[in-house]
Amino acid sequence: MNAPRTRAEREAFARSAVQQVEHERVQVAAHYEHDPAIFSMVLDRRLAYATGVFQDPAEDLESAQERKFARIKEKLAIAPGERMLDVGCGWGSNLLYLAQHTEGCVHGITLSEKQREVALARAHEWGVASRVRVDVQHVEDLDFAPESLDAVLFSGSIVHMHNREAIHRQMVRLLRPGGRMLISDCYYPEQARGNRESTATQYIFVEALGYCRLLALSEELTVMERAGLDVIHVEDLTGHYVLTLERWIDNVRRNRQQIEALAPGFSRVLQSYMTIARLSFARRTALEYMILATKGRPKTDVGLWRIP
Amino acid sequence: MHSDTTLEAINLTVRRLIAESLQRPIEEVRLDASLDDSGLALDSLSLVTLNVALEERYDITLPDFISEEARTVRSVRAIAELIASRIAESTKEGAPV
Repeated sequence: MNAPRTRAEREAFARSAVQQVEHERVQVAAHYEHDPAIFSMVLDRRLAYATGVFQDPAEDLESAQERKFARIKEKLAIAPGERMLDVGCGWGSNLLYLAQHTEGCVHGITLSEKQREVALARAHEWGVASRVRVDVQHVEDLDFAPESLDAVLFSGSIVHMHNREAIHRQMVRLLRPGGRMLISDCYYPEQARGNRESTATQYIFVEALGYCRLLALSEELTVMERAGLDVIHVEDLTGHYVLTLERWIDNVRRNRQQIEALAPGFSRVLQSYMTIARLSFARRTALEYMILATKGRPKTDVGLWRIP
Repeated sequence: MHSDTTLEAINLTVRRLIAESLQRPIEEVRLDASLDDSGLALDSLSLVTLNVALEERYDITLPDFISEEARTVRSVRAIAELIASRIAESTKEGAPV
């Protein structure tokens, strides 16, 4: 992989693997430990903290997030009784959608106890608790049996994980042959575009979100392929993230006083980091991709997917 | 009109917020100073932070000072004038008919 591109990354390389896991456990969780009521005012009703997929630029956030959930469901193709792991499940947006729309058993892990509570409360409320499990756990501490999973999802979460080689190797171990892995996250262009040493980068990667590591797409794919995964589909959702962030920022503006009442200063953090992110995606100094890979032979033939 | 939304008061608030962000005395943040490297040299984070602080302070929506849509907002004075006009618009909208 390339040399570190940001201060956050250099600092991570200076830590031992154990120290880095501990760092992520504390620093990444901090953002998500804010009152869930705040995120309810900013995100869609399922609380997806990742890009939606917009049919047109004027579409509302709910519809765009619904389309994204449905797309992830199609791509993961979870059959009845199959086991799915959502790494960094947040408040359960995808996890519970998949529990409601498939007959699989879904297991989420998060670093935030508050997120776990919200996800479990919703699982009960929506009548799917018997097929939903949520633990507060770091991905590198998972102790599942080899070949015990049929699908793994990382939605807006792998960006917080430094040790990508280890994580991809681990996922290959945990997936059964024919298992699927989907990532939806943020990448740097391979070309050096934009200032990655800026105070704005440091703000978003460290102050606002605890720890972020953006690879180039080609680096992530290489690490995945070396671990033994077959990459079968990649799509660019960068423009969709611009639209998603615009809606989140407007929601922060609309609810500024209520957010400030719950967590003084936090509306500023949200609006500032979201504004930097929106401009980065708009200028394509940061890119958003959805990657689908399989362990061994794919169950679906993506060559037959219809466009549109 | 509320006394802190006169142009003079807005000028002072904008200068004060920039001075705080740069950790420099307010006297050094002149009204005609440009925001870019030829003047105050505010970096992208300072501009975003200023944006958000001003929106919060005046309960208005502003264009992002670091984006193309705000390329005419290049000086302390331009920011203050933009705020004054946004406040005037929102007051008009909110006025009873």
